[in-house]
Amino acid sequence: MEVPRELINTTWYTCLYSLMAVPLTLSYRTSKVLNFAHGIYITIGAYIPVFISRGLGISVSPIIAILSSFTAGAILAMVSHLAVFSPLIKRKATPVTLMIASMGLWIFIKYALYAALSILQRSWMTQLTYTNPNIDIPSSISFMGIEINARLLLTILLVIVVFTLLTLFLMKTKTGMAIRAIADNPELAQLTGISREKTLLIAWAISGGIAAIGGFAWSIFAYVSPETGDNLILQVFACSVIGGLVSLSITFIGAIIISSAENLLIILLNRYFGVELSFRPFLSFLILLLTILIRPPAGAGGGLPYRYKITGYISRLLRRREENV
Amino acid sequence: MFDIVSFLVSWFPIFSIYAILALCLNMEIGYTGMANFGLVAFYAIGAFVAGYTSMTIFLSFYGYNYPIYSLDAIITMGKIAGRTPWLNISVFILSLILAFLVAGLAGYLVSFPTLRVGPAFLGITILSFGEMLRVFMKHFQPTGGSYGLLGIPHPFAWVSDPLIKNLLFVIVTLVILILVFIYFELLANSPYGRALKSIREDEIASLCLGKPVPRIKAELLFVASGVSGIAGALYVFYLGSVAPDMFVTAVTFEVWSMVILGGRGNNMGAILGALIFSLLNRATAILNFIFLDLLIDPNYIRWMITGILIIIVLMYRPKGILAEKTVKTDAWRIFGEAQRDWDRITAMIQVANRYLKRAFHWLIGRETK
Repeated sequence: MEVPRELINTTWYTCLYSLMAVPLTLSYRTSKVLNFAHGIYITIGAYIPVFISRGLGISVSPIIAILSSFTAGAILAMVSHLAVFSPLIKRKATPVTLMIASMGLWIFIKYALYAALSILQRSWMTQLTYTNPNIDIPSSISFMGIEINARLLLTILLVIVVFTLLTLFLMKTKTGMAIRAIADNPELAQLTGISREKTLLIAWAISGGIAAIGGFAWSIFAYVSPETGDNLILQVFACSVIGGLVSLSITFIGAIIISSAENLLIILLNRYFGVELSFRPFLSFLILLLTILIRPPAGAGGGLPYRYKITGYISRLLRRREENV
Repeated sequence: MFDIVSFLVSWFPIFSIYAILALCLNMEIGYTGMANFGLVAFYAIGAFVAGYTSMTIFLSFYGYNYPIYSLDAIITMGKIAGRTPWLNISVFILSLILAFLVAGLAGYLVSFPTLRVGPAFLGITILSFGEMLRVFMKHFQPTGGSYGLLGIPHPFAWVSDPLIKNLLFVIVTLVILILVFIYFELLANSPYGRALKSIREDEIASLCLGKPVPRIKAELLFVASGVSGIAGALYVFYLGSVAPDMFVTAVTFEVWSMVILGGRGNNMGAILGALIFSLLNRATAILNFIFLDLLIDPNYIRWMITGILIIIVLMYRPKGILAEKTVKTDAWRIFGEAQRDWDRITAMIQVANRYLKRAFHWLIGRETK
C-alpha cells in the first residue's frame, strides 16, 4: 500500500509544529513573556545530539538523545528566566520591555552558538552546519506487511508520550495545578501560598525542554543548521496565535491547520491555479492575519478591550459618518 | 593604509541611514509604544521601489528593452548612468518620493489588522511580515529574484571625480537626516506628540479622553514606515545594488539596540545610538579586512555584544544613555521647571545683594539692620 507523500509530510510537520508551538503557548500563558528566544531552544535541542554523536564519534541511542536535548533546553530556559526575565519582572518591566529583552537574549545565544560552532569545527575537523546527528534508528520497520518509516513512527510516539505526560502533569499533579493557577490569576494564586518564582521556573523548564525535544524531532527529519529555529519561527508563532496564546489544545489544532495548509493546500493551489510551491510560508502568514481579523485574541496580548468589527467598519464607510472610535 | 577621508566618506552615509531608521523606530516605540519588530520590511520596500523605478526609467528613457535584472541591462547602465545629470537628479528625487509613499502605504495596511490587538500580536505580525517579504522578494522575478538588482545609477554619477561624487552624496544624506530630525522633533513637541505619549503611557485612558487611538497609530505607522522607506532608497543609491538577503531580521535588531542604548523617547539618543553602532559596524568590517583568517568572525562577537548590551541597558539603565526630556509646552515654561529655575536665580541674586549691602555698610561704618 502506498501512502501519498503529501499526507506523510503533513503528519510529520504536524508533529514538529505541535512540539514546538505548544511550549510557546505554555510559557506565554504562565509568565506573560512573548519569548522570541523560543527558536533558539529548538536549535539547541537539535544541536545537542549532533554534538554528542560528533564529539564522541558514536551513534547515539534515541532515548539518550531525547533526554539530553530535554535537559539542555530546560536548563537554557531556566537560566534565561533567572538571569533575564525574573529580574526584569521584579523591576516592573512592561510587556514590550520583556519582548525586547527576549530579543536580546535571542541574538546573544544565537551568535554564541555560531562562535562555538566555528571553534568546534576547527578542533573536531568536521562539518557542523547542515548535518544530521548519528542516531541509532533503523530506516524502516515492517509491521503487518506495511513498511513504516521508523523516524516518523518515533516522532509520532514522541508527540503522543510528551502530550499525554504534559496533560497528566498539568491536570493531576499539585505542581501542574499551581502552574495553571499562576497562569489564570497570579495574585490570587500567591495568596493561596503558591510560590510564583518556583512555579514559573518549573513552567519555563518544561516549555524549554519540550521545545528542545521538538528540535530533536527536527534533527531526525531534516538538516540542522544554526538557523533551524529561526526559519520555523513564523509557523510556530502562527500556530500559537491560532491558539490565541492561551489554549494548548487549540494550539495543537493550529499545528494541524498550518501543516496541512503548507503541504496539502499548496499542492492544490499549485495544481489548479499555478501558484509556485515556494510561496508556502505565505499561506502561514495569511492564516495568521485571518486569525487576527476573524478571531481577535482580545485581552490576551494586552490589547484594547474592544472587538474588531469589519462589517461595522464597512457600513460606517457607506454611511459617510465621522469615525468616532 | 588607513585613509581618514575615505573612511569618513564610507561611514557617513551608513551613519545617516541608520540614524534615520533609529529616529523612525524611536517615534514608534519611544513615543507611541508600538513594538515594531519588522522595521526591516519597510526599509526593504523602500529599497526595492527605488531600485526598480530608477532602473526602469533609465532604460526606457534611452530606449532599451532589456529586463532590468539582466546582464545586458547592468552593462548598459554602466554606460548611460553618467550622461544626463538632470535625469539622475530627478530620478533620485522621484524614487525617494515613491519609496516614501509605497512604504508608508504598506505600513498603513499592516496597521489595519493589528491595531486592535496588543503589543505581543503586533510584534509577531510585523516580524512575520518582514520575513514573508524577504521570502517573496527571493522568488519575485521582476526584481531579479534572489540575486536582486545591480547597477543602480548613482545620483551623482555624472561627476567624474569619485571623491567629490561621494562627498555630494554624504551632504545629501546629511541634509535628509537633519530634515527628518527637525520634523520628528517638531512632531514630538506638538500637541500631537503629547497625544502619542499618552497612548504609550495608557492606551485605554487616552481612548477614554477622546483620542482616536487606532487612527493616530495608523497615521504614525504611515509616516514612520515611509521615512524608513526613504532610508532604504538612500541605502540602495549608496550601494548601487539591492538583494533580498540584505534585509534579514538582524537589521531590525541593530536599529532596536541603537534606540534602546541611546534612550527611548529622545531623538538625540537615537542619533547617539546610531553613531555608536555604526562605528562598531565599521570597526568589525576593518578587523575582518586586516585579519583575514580569524578563529571567530568579529561579526559574531559584535552581535553577542549587541544582545548582551540590550539586556544590560534594560536592567540597569532602562532609560538609555540620554534619558527622555520634558516636553516643552508653554505651560511648562511658565509653571514648571523653568519657573523654578528662575525663582532659584532670583533667590541667589537677593542673597548676593544682602551680602553686598553688608559689605558696603561695613566699609562706611554703619550697622545693618
